[in-house]
This record gives sequence, C-alpha cells and structure tokens, in this order.
Amino acid sequence: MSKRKELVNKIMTDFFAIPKDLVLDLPKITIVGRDELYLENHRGIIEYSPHRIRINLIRGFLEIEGRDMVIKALLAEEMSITGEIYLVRFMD
Amino acid sequence: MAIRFFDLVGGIKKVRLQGKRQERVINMASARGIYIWGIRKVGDRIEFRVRDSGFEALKHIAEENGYELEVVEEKGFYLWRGIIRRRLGFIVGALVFILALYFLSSFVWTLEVSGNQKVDKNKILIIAAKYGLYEGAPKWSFKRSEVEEGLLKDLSQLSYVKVDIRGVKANIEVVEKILPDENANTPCHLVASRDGIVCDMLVLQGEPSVKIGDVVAKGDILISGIVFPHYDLQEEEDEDIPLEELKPYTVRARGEVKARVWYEGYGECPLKKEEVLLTGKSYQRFYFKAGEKIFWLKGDKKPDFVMATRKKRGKFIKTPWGDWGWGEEVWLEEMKKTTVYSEEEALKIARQKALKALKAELPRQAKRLETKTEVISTPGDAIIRVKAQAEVIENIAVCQPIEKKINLANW
Repeated sequence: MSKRKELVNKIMTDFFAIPKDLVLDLPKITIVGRDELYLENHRGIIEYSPHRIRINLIRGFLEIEGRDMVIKALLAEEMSITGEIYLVRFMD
Repeated sequence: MAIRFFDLVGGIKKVRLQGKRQERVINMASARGIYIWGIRKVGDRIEFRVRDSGFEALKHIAEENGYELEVVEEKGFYLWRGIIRRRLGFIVGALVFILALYFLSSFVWTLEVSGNQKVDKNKILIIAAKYGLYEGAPKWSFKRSEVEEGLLKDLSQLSYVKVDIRGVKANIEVVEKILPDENANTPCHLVASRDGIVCDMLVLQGEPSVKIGDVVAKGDILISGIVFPHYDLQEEEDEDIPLEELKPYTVRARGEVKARVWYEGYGECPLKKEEVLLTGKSYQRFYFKAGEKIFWLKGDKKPDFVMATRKKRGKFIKTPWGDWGWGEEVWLEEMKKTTVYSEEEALKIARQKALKALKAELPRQAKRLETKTEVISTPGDAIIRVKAQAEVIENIAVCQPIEKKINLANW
C-alpha cells in the first residue's frame, strides 16, 4: 500500500469513525492477564523461540518477549500466544 | 471442547520439524489454510499439531522446501479400529442397550391421578385414555394440551387439569370445582332471576330490600342475607349494649318473592313460500373405480332430472395408484313447490308459531295471567311477523351465596 493511499484511507476512516482494524488491516492485540495474547491481522511469523516471538505486520513487526511462550493456535489472520509475557514492542 | 472432539474423529498428528528457519514452513502452511496449533520449541526443533486432513499438504510443503517432517504422535478414533473389531459384540450390546432404554422410556408406564375427591379416578382414567393417555401409551401418540383440554371438556366437575409427564411416569393433577352448596346453611341473598314487578312477598329469614309493587331487574337483591340488628338506641340509652351485638351478621335468606314477569315468543310466515320436495323418482348407478378410471356397471348415463340430489356410498381401498373399489350413486329427483298464502292464512301460521315458541319458553308451573299476540310487521311486508307475549306470576327469587370477601368486621 502506497503512503498516499494509506493516508487517504486513514483520513476517511477517521472522518466516518469506522474501526481501523477492519478497513486498514491494522493489527488488533488483546492481552488477557500476563499470559494470554491474541493477535488479529498478522502477516506471518518471522521468528519463534520460547523467549522471543517476532510477528510480521502490515507495516513493521511486533516483538514479544517472555518466557515459555507457545503459539497456541495459528490461523491465516489470527493467532494466540500463551506463556509469561514480559514485553510487547512495535518495531519498524 | 466440541471442536477438539471433532478433531479426534478426523485424527490429529503431532509433528516435529527440523531445519533452519522453520517459521517459513509454518507461515506457508497457515497461508494455505492449514490449521496449526500448539506450536512449541523443543531444542532446535519445532513441534506442533495438525489435523490429518491437512497433514499431506503440510508434508508436501516441507519436502518441497527441504525440511524434514517427523510424526511424533497420532491420535484419533480410527486408531481404535482394532479394538472395536475385537470387542464388536460388546459395543453392539451397549448400543442395543442404550437404544432399548431410549425406546422403552418413550412410553408412559405408570399413570396416576391426584387431586380428585368426588370425581371417580376410573372415570378420569377412561377419559384420558380416550384422548390417548393410558398406561403403556407411547408418548408421541398424544399431546399433553389435548388431553388436558379433553378432560376439562368432558368432565364438567373439573376446573383445572394438569398432565405432568416425568420420564415414564405421568400424573394427572385435577382440581375440582367447588359448587356452592344449595342445601347447606351458607349465608346467601335471594336475588331476582328475571325482570318483573313484585306482587307478593313472603320473608322467612333475612331482610327484605324490595316491597310489593317495586320494579326489579334481573340480579337485584330481593331479600338480603345481611341483617342489621335493630336497637332502639333512645330507649336503651342507659344500658350498655355490647358492640358485638350491634354488628351486622349474615344469614341464609329464605322466602318467596312472586312477581309479574313477561315471556315472549316470535313467529313468522312468508306470503310466498318456496320449498324443495322429493318427487319420489330415483335413479341408481353402480360403478367400479380403478384409480382415475371409472367403469359404469349400471346406469352409465346421468339421469335427466331437472333438479336432483346425489347420495354416494361405496368401499374403496387407498393404493399408490389411487382409490380402488365399488361405488353406488343414487339420484333423487327434486322439485320446487311454491305455496302462496293469503294474509289471513299467513297470520294464522305466524301466530301459531309465535305461541309455540312462547310455550317453549314458559316454565311449567307458572300461573299465566294473560296472553296476547301482536303483529309487528308492516302491512306491505312479504313476511308476516307475530310476537306473542304472556304475563305470568312466578317465584323469581333465587339463591346467591354472599361472597366471603365482604368483611363485616369493618362496618
């Protein structure tokens, strides 16, 4: 997606107050307690190890650090991670 | 939980993936719609679970990209085939047992009646059986609401019926109507059963609330069952009358109230009357029916009657190819008969009809004062209408129990 098109989409969704995760394919993250994380709209796993998971997003990637992390379920656009989560970081 | 169960039906494989950057395989697999779960790193290898249906595709992806795929564990019902084959008798027996249990539990095996005091239990059971509920009845053969309605309809003594089915037990719970006891000494008023003019009264007990000559409407209280004690306060001023004695009390009102009441009857007769009568001529036809086709055995033509009615009868058997059987048709010739009455004749007939209707209305023991008839149609009408009226003297007092709700203590 080009930068310009993205900008136009962003303005439109702001104007019409549409959820951005639906229109712009932005990631939606839900964290339950310290040990469950749900992620929607991902673009694949870059790296997986029990202490660090990196997930590709539409722009940039997400880094999750923790201990004994397991990918509980993996679907084309959704995933759920369990384990002790220390840190969730967005990176470019 | 349900999803896990269906996974087991299809079969699950736990696989181990070796090689560098195994995430690539996982990404490709999930992009192709293969559902993967339980991804876990064991040393430098990745373990995860996949459905049997997606395993072949996953294997294909792994081999194409030079990864080694190893099946660690298999789960699923298909692995139990050997056990099932060896213990077939046991499993079939278990299934038969469950089915038999289910089948037998869909009958009503015990039937009880509760709540009945005066109505005979057997009577209730017989009527319930008529609507399909009896001991041994399959549950699908009757509807609870139908049985309840049927019982209420057929047994007028019941005011409420509830059929409760619990497993193989059915309980018919009834509540009987409590009819006001006419003979007991329950307090009651005497009220008018008809509109009329009071012409004679005899009060045995209670307080008369009408007097001779009064016009009363149906439902008016004639003799009240609530009695107010009479005390002349001025005379007995010094005496201390206990309050209890001043309170009104209820009695069963007794007495007779004779009143002049009216009964009416109506009759009419048209001046020109058309009737359809049978001439006596008839025509018989026999046929054999085979599905759509009809073979006439006798009388293959329709009779040439101008007006006729047809009576059909026969025996047919329903088959997939229509109805088969023998039939008979009887045609009866009809004719129209027009009778013209003169006005006097019509009046006579109408009057007779009106008097007959009046007689049917009148109670038997009533003392009839006078009867008069009146023509109510206008002279030009095609129908003569007559009203007959009788004036009667009868006892119009009927018992009406006093409702307990009236709290006399507050008076």
